[in-house]
Amino acid sequence: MDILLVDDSKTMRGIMQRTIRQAGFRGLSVGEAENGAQGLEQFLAERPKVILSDWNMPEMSGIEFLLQVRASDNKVPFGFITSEASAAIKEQAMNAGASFVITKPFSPEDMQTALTPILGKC
Amino acid sequence: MSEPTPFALSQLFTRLIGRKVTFAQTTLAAETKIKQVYGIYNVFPHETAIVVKADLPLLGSLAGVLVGLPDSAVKERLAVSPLEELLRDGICEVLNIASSVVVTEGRAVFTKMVGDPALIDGVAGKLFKKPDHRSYFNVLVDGYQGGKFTIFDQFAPVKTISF
Repeated sequence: MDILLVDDSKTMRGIMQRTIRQAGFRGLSVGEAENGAQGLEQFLAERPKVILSDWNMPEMSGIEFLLQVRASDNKVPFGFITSEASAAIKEQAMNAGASFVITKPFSPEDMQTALTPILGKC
Repeated sequence: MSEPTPFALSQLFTRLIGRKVTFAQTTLAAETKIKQVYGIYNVFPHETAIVVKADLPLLGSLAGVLVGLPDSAVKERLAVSPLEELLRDGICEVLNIASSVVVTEGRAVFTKMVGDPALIDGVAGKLFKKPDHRSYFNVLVDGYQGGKFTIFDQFAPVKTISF
């Protein structure tokens, strides 16, 4: 799996996939999960190259998900895609080991800037 | 207390859907028979709330563009009850993304949307019945149906300082 998308909104997961394609990344294997708990299961089973996660989700939030991933001593690039735009949230994310934070609404250019260093030029 | 500006709201939604969205502030929104949707937000760190009330066709337009539906398809699907998952989920996401601009102080977290104001409970319910402040907007969406958008807000608690 190349990318794991974790968001409780099916629509948003679809928009993320579309934006990733618009950013020029095609032919990638993409997995989806509805919350951090499901995301953790998929991460452990599939070992994606990068994780893109929402912040506010039921059952297990994005930050809890990130902490669980990092607790397994895994350095997988982990980015948040969230409507939480405050500096405090960004600081909390980066302190917990996030690679980047993209604020909704996002553009293909935002996605390209975040993913190119990880997946290479498309 | 400052309130969300039409500019910030217009900019956010234009960026969200890639079409021109224009918020114009008005003094009062007359009640209509158009079906309404209510977005409920918790505001931190003050543990207060805000409520957004918007015309369903307006939110349907924004969500429709987001998920790739033309205006005619949005109108057809909005006429169906209950609302199908694609549009409902899209409207939720529109209200969620709005959380970054509906407050100017503190951090708003979208919690849920309801179609019946009687279902607005807790702190949000009290606020909705007796808001400190309301901001009214008329909204135009390029190529799609616009509508009315109202924010019900309350003043943040004032810290008292003892000398």
